[in-house]
This record gives sequence, C-alpha cells and structure tokens, in this order.
Amino acid sequence: MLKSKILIIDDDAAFIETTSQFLITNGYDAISTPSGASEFNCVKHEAPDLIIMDVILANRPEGVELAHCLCDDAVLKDIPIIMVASPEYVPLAQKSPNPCVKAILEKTASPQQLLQTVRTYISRRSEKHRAIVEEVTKLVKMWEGKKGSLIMILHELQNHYGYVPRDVAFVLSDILDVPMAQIYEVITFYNFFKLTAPGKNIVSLCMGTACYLKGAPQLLEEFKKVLGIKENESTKDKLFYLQIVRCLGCCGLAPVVMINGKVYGKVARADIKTILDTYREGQTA
Amino acid sequence: MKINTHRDLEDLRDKLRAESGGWIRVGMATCGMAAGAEAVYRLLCAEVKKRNLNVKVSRCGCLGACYAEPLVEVGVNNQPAVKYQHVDEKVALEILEKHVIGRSTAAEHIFVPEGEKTQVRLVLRNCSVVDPESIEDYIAHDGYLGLAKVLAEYNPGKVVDEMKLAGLRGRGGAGFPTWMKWNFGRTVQADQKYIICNGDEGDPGAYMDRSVLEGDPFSVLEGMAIGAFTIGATKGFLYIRAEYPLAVERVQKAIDKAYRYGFLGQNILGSNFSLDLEIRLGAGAFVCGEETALIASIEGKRGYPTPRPPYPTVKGLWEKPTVINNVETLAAVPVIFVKGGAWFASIGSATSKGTKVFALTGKVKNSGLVEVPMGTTLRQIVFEAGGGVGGGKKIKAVQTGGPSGGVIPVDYLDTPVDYETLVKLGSIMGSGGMIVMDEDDCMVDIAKFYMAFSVEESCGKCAPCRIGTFQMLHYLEKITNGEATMKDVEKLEEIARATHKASLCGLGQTAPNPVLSTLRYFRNEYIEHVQNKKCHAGKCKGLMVHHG
Repeated sequence: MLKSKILIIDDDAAFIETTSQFLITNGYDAISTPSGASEFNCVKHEAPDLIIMDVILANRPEGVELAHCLCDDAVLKDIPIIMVASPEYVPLAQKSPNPCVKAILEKTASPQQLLQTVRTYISRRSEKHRAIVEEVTKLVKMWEGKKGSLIMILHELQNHYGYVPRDVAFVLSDILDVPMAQIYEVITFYNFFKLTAPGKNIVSLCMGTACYLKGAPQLLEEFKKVLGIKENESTKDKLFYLQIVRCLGCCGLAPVVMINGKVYGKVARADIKTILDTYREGQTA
Repeated sequence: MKINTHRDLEDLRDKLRAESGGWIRVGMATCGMAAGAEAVYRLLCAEVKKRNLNVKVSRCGCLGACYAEPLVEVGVNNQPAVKYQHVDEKVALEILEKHVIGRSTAAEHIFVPEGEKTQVRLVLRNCSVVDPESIEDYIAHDGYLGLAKVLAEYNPGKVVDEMKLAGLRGRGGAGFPTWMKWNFGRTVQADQKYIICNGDEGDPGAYMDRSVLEGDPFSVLEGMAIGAFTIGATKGFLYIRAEYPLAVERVQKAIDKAYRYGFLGQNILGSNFSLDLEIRLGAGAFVCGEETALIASIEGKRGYPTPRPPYPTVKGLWEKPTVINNVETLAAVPVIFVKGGAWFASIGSATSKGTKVFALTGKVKNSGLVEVPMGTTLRQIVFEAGGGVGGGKKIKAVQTGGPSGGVIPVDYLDTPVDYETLVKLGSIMGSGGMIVMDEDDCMVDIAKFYMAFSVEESCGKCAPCRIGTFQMLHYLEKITNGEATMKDVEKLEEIARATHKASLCGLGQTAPNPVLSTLRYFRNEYIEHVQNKKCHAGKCKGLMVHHG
C-alpha cells in the first residue's frame, strides 16, 4: 500500500530532520518545503495526507495565517493540520481557531504523543478515503465496460455529491485507470460540472435572449446586491449559490429564475428579496 | 406484450381507440409546469377519483401557447374538445363542475387561440394530444405505424427514395437534405454504424426540441428506428442537454416502454432489424451542437470539433460511419411514412418542404411555439400566429438563428421564410429561435449580447474563433461605452469577415453574423453610438439617452 504522505512546514532544520526521520521509521513518507518556496504552493503541489506546521515561520505568512489560507481553499481544506509551537506561542495558535487545525502540540511534546496524534488523523482520513472508494465504485458500476462513459460517470458523481470533489476525482482516476489530467480536462471544459460545493439553494438566472430583452441583466444586478455575491459564487452562510444559465426554455414566461427545481416566471426586480426570503425561512423553521 | 406484425399493431391501435371515453388533458411540459400545471393535474386526478367520474385525466406535452399556461383541454360526452387557459386549482374545480358534470362549459376561462389557421401542426401533432408517458396512447394515435410499414414494405433504398420525394431537410439549422445524409450512411461499408439524435439545443431562445422530447418522445424514437434501418445502424444515442431533466426522464421512460413492446431491441416487429438506443447527457457546451464536437462528447472527451472531411457519415463515432439528425427532423419522419412523401412535399415552399417550428419570443404578445408551413411570411408568423407586438410599441426587427443568426428589419417582414430566403437576408434558419424586437431594443447591444455568448462558448481550439470573437466583443464594448471611433467600426467589420472565413467549425464561422447583419441594416445606430455618443433605445449605460 502507498505510504501516507506528511508535509512538515517549519523553519527549524533540526526539528524537520528529527521529526521526518522519526516518521519515516514509523512507516510514513515525510517531506518538507524546500527553502524559499511558497508553502501554500507546496501544499497544493504535493497534496499531502497531513500537515505538521509551526505556528511561527521565519517568512510570512505565519503558520496561523497559512492555516487559514489553506482552510479557505476549496480543495486543500480537507487536509488535517497539526500545529506545533513553543510553549509561549501555544496561546497564539489557540486564539485563532480553525476547523482544519485538528490539534495543537507543544514542540516539547514527546515523539510518542506526536505519533499518536498523526495516527489518529491519518486513520480518520483513510477511513474517509475508504468510504469514498466504496461509494464511487458503486456509482461507477452501471457504466462498467461501456465505452466513452466518463461524462456520464461525472454526471452520476455530481448528482451524488452536488459537485465533483477533488478526492473523489482522484479515486475515480484510480478506479477507471484514467489519468487525473484527463478527468480534469473534461470537467473544466463543460459548464455543467462544478469543482467546489455550491450553496444549499441553487439560484439559476436565465440569460437566454428573451429573458435578456425582458430585463434579466437588471435581475442579475439585484441578485448580486441582495446576496452580496457574484455569479458562480456561494453566499458565506452557504445558503445560496448564484449561477447564470443559457436558456430554461420558458421564454413565454421571461424573465425566468429557477431556484432548485422551481421556476419563477415574469420576475420583477422588486420580487427578488421576497422570493429569496422564502428559502431563508425554510432554513430556520 | 411484444408486437410482431404490422397487423398486430393495427389491431392493438383499434382496441385502444375503442376503449377511450371522456378525457381531460393537462399541458405538462416545462413551461406548463413552471406555471403550476402539476398542482392542477394532481387535483384533477384526486377529484375525478373521489367523485368517481368516468373520465381519464392525462398529461400531455406543450400546447404551444406558453402565454396562456397552465392549459387544460376537456373532451367529454362526445362533444368537441374545449381548451381552458390560466387554469389554477380553483378554475380546475369549476371546469369539473360546470363542464364534466354540468355538461355546459366554464365559459369565462375558455382559451381561444389566436392565429391557429396560420399554423400546421405536423411535428407537434402529438404534443398536445398524446400522453408522453404512455406508449399505448401513442399507438392509439397511429404511433409506430410508419416504422411497421417501413419494415414490412420497404428496403433501405426505397426509404431514401421516399425521403427524397418528401424533401425533408435538417431542422438543426443548416438544412442539409435528410435523404442525402441517409444515403451516404447507407452506401458506406462498415461492420458497425451509428445513428445519433442531436438534442443539444444550444440557441438561447429556442426550445422546440425540448418540447418535442418532453411532449412526444416516441416520435423521435420511431424516426431514429426508421433512420437506423435505412443506414444499417444497430446502435444509437440520444444526446440530450443535462439542463432538460424532464426531457431526459421522459425519453428514458419511452425507451424502456419501446423495448417492452418490441419496437427496440432484437428483431423489431418480427423483422431482421435490431436496434439499441441509449441516452447520453450533454454538459453545457454550445459547441457540442456541432456534429464532430458532439461525437467527441459522446466518446467522453472534451467537445472539440475536428475538420471535415472526413464527414461523420464516413468516419464518425469511434471512427465508424455515423448519421446525426436533429430532434425536430426525426420527429417529422414517422408521419412521412404514414401519409407519404408526396403529401409532405405538398406543404412548404419550392426549396423547403414541410413545416418549421419556431420559438416565437421576445416582444411579441403571444409567445410560444408556433409551427407553420415553410414559406409563411415573417409578418404572418409575428402578427397572425403571435398576435403582434404588445404594449403599443412598434416592431423593429426579428432575430432568427440565435447567436449564429442575424436580425431582419421590419422592411423585410413580407419575406416568405425558408432556408434560402433567410440566408439571402444575412440570417439563417438555425434551430428556430425567433425573437421579436421593438423600438426599446438597441441593435448594438443585441450584437454585444450574442458576441458575449460566443466568446464564452468558443471552445478555444482554433485561433480565428477564440481571438476573433474576443476582439469583436472588445470593439462592441468600446462602442456601447461611447469610447469608439469610426475606425473601430471598420476594424470590427474586418475582424467579423476574417472570423467567418477562417474558423474551423460552424460556431466560429457563424459567430460574426449578429455583427454583420446589424451593421448591414442598422449601421446608423452604430454611427449614432460612435459619433453622437447616444443610444436611441437607452440600453447602453455608458451613453446618453436620445430624447426626441
């Protein structure tokens, strides 16, 4: 089996050296960021299974900031982070909680304690991985042995997950024995496929010709204003996702907006807030 | 349940017809559903059951009058059928009480369609009549008779002759003769051939294919079977936009039911002909309406077009000969074999036979789907079938062909519509989007709208289209922002011509059409934007509104 990859981000060469030797002895693949390279890009490039990171780094951004950047990234947010800090900096790390930071350890913690923490989060991650493999295998089954089924499989995955998560795409690449590049090449070509999780309610504003003539651009302005987002974005509370669609085929009812499956016809600018509010109330009820 | 002969099919049809009594039909295509038809349908089903009435409530496809949805049609007590408009739950109850039980009518809700006499419903013949989820209903309306006749009496060569007599041309836009395409497919030798139905309706503003797939999926399957028999294909795909979930659902149900009756699968109708059909979903790429890009997409790849020749009829899906027909084309095929090619050819103009469905939208009073014989004038379509322009405004132009088409100014409204006349006017038939524009619409803004669409949808494979569309949009923005000089207008025109000439596929070749046609007929608007910094229609935000 492939070894789990752990990335150590620190500017203390001695810590990197001892920790990686220790992890390698215990069956992991340990790497560190080359000096001078951007830590963020390194994480992106290496796609490690876990990160051990110092709170204070010589070059900006500081560990805490970097952890927030990683957490804000739709793809990298799934990588668990273990923070290590000299005792005096532990409060600094604690002051800024972050869902990706799973544990904060003192640098003086025993190697056994570090190993225990690493094992816990790696095994949680591999459980999750196993669950994904199982799910994807099930979803792919009906297309087994059929030629040219990649797009249909991606439809299945998006129906199931709401988008095509990166770890799912990795699993799919293994199962189909198709390079990841080929899968992403297809996903990014077609408008229909999403790479990040959309908000709970999908607002599709029709920008077909009839809707355009009858005021869809003004509706778009209003949606952006009320929701505080641009098209192809989700609101911060993840309640709404705004997208523009080509034509819903209800030109007789132009301008048209569809929220989830429901179509609203002859929408006026003044209606928008009321329409959106019905989905907000549904949320609190 | 399998039907093995032509005779069995006719017997079943007669039996099904004899069984039918009173009925209520609810228009339940996407447009009807959007207007609330689902609730009306449920209520009618429940009430009919509760009151133990002897009528059959069924769904049907688009009635074509989107402006009057939800529509309900009632045929009871051997009286002529009556259509009702804007039916909500309250009106539905009134219809039940007054019409079905009370034997009179709910007079104030009756729908009187305007301009019916302009229309000939041939492709949409079943759309407001047959329950799209009932193959029995389709059979009762002469469904599969065309295929049965072909399998019993025709050989592939004879089918081609009949299609040639009919003169049906591709309804996807280009108008290539269907018989010729089928003949290419028939004469090429290969161990495997394919038939594909192109349901990737990409023109924003055209939705007849969606309506046909939702309202009469069986006709499309039957047309595909006749085509497959002719060219010798044993496998076929329906490529449908994923944005049309209801169409996908209904087509899948129709395929399953067709297998059960033996209209698909091995030895169809007891003959030696076998055919398997499957759905493949599009994923939101306009370029996939182009044949070679569509093939790449079915193969699971990026929808990049490839140079032609080789044409798909020679080297198509997985390098095998492949015939691709549009939804509307295929839906017209069965009726040709029931009524004859000569009958079909008797409808339409000299060069274009049969009918064309248009999605008549924009600033027209009654927007919806209209089906008219080829050769009907634009004026008849807009003013008779569509009821003219609403809101006391004056019509300025009609746009046909979507992002690949052009605008036709009001002076040319008396032109009979067919493939050739539209090209002569600098537009195209396209898939049948027809958008009416009034004096509030700015022609430069319209050109910009379509160009933004083409920029977004250009696949990026060839430079003329990728860069040309981008540059054209750049100049159009400059013009609508009031930052352009007349030199920029010249540049725009030059790039438009170059993009048209040099692009690899139809998308790029036709993307300049909206620019070229607005420049041809409305150059004064461009000049006004550039020299006077004014937008007559008040659409371009960067400019002053022109008063007086």
